[in-house]
Amino acid sequence: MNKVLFIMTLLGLLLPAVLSAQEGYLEVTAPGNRQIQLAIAPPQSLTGAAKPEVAKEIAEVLQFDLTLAGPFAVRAGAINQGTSGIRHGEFDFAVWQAAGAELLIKSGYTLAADSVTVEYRLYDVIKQQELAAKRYTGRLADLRRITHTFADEVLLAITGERGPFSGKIAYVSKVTGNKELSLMDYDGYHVQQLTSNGSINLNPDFSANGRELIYTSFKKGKSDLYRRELFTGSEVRIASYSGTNGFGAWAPDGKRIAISLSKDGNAEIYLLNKDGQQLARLTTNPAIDVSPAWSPDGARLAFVSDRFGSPQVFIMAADGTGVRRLTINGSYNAFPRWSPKGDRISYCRQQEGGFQVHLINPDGSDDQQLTSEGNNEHPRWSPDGRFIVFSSRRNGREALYVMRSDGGGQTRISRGKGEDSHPVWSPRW
Amino acid sequence: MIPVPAQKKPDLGDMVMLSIIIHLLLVLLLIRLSSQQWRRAVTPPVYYVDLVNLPVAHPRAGTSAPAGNNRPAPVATPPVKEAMQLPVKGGKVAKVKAPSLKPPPPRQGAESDREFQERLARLQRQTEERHEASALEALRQKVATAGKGTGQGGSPVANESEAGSDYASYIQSRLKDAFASTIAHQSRAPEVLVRISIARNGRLAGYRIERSSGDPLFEAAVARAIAKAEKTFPPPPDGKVFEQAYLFRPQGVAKK
Amino acid sequence: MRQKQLGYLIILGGVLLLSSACAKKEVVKSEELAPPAVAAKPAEPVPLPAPVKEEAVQPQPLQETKIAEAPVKEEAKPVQAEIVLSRIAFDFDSYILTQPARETLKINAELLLKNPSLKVQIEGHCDERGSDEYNLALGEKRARHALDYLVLLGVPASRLSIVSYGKEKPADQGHDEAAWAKNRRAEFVIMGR
Repeated sequence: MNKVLFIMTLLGLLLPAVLSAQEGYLEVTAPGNRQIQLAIAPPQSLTGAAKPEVAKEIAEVLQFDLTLAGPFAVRAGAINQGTSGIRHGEFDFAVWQAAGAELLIKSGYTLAADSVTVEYRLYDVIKQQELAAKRYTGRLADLRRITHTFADEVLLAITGERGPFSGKIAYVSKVTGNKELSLMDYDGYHVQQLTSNGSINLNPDFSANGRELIYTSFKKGKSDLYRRELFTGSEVRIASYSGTNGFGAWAPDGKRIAISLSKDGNAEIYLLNKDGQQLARLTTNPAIDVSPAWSPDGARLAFVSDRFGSPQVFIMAADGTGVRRLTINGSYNAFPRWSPKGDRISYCRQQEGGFQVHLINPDGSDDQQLTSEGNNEHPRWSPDGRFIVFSSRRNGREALYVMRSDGGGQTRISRGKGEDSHPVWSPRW
Repeated sequence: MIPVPAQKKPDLGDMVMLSIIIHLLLVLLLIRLSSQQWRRAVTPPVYYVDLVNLPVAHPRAGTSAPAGNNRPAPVATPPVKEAMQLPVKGGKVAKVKAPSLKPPPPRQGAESDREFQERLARLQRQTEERHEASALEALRQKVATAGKGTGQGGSPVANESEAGSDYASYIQSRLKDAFASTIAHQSRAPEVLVRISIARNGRLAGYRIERSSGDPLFEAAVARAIAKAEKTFPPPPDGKVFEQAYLFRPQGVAKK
Repeated sequence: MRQKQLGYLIILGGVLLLSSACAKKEVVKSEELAPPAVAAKPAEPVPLPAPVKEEAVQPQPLQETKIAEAPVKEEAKPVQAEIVLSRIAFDFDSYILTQPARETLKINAELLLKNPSLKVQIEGHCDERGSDEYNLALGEKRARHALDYLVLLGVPASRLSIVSYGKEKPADQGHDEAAWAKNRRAEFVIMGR
């Protein structure tokens, strides 16, 4: 019992003595991760006649982009006395705060004969501060694009990183009955057909500056690799080695192209320069080696090989050394793509009912399934790494979808009737 | 009938011992976990407030518990559910009141059982070493203070008035309420250390980010929480400008 | 078709030219702002970026499109032939020649040996499951194995060629096991004499 007393005394003495070392700060914690309440005030006509379509389009684009972004709960629409002026001091923050808004986007437009000028202002309602203010002038037909550009700015102001919404998506469309290359806004508007050769065209990939595309086409009877200057339409066949010329992957440095070729008897991975001359052969293996995907620093490549029996994703250094298997689970894994930040690799695993998009760390840990519905292929990252665009057959016809990199917000972006696949998100132009 | 083997009834003294040891370890574990942040803390003007509302830690611990005597004189500010809102200290004290022989679950589920056992073992070794040295010293102090008849043996040294500490925790509770409605983050475990100054009229005199999280979304959420909470700040006591550092972080996120 | 494409390019070029030309870099002036009510800092002037950054891109007159879609080179083309060579089937994710496939190849080899002037391209195909590019490689392996077996049976390699279409040219557009079984195949296309 003496012992007990001793320890009790110790406890009593020790506890406050040690606690008195607590110095510094008080902790303020809160559970969860809330969405920021973002209100989009009705776009106003600044001078001249109002045009409801313009206001509607601005509000719709902002709402679509910023809802997809993730951190925001977006509400568009007027509130009482909420529409007086768009500049700081011209309207009352209190009414917006009372409506629960934390961020507010005010915008106004001025229509001229052949152009439109739009001014957007992003406010912090709580702090009553202006966070971003931009004015753009362009053709009325570019209104969506202008608004996407401001949505990019909103993400920059709030999250510290610019959004990808003003980028384009190149993809393969079957709207003509043949697989032709097309280009569209990331949300499916402004479709422009790039090829019309009536053959099979596959797997477009943007160069680092977004001005050139490489793609694989059967237009001369077998699969060859072509490079096309986007703004001029000029193009050249850069790889037509004997056998199959596979899908090209442009290195981040814009100087090299990784591709699988079967010219030496079986699909192996090679590096070519941008004119198609061979720089190096990376794999030597009787198995199939395809689908090279660069790490963002250009030092490593993920690829698909069936050297152990079934298609699996592997990683190697860009000189072909240090080959290591990445995916352990699943009997068929393909479509690897490295995230722009380098911390994750997306790929597809074949399961009952089709491919599902997964993410995995480059060291093979933390495998995470993002999709669960239908057959999903061709995942590609947005240039900022926030989103993944992919093709899915979840509603019958193959169509393009976009989702956040945590699998949230899966949204169909294909608007046409054809089958769409092989998307790739352009860097900022 | 198979005879039920007679269980050896554990001696009461052993039970009490075991209970006390577990409580001691728990407290030390807690201290150790928290002290990892303290090391990074900036020197503060205010001492801790977390124990303000704690009941006596153990019925039989008598005067050695710090709480009862430490309670400040009631201030005009309402006692906004502080005991409930201090998850760490409050939770542990609750356990002290209801002793259990099972090893306590790891804090916040952040560590695996194995890690927890290792940590326990490590702590045990450390405490044993520390005990021998500190016991004598502490007893000496005890005797000294007992002589003065204050009954506050071993209680921490306060640099500021107790009313001041209560004000700090009141502000903390206001910030917590506001933060719960603004929290947003894009990184996994952001932490922002903010030094807040409140003028004599109760308005926010300013705040300074002393340690940034590098997550603008989180930083903005903290700023909005402060802006929201400001409206509920009462004037500081004693007509002095109040200054205190607050660490904002998401609840339940494992520390880096 | 070329006209249409030209049109698209002009539109694309026009968009870029106009938007880069029209988008003025303006500064939203801070003095336009009324003094804020509460402790808010004056809004900082924000330089406006042009909506289109790629100002350097000058859309060229479009003569380059001539090269763009060069007509398919007159290479060997399938011809009508007096004999029909049967296709062979494969198992999923496999290029191994099954027993029935080898029987079919024997018949095909005899036909080819009887018609020594015929040239044949062997097309390798896959079902729609699996990745496009892996299937391109797999189809090629199927075609190559068929070719090797025909050579073994005495058909000169000089009369045979291979191409892989992967899963791009299904024989059956269905999405079930029956369709997939039909699509995992090698076809023998007579390319001329």
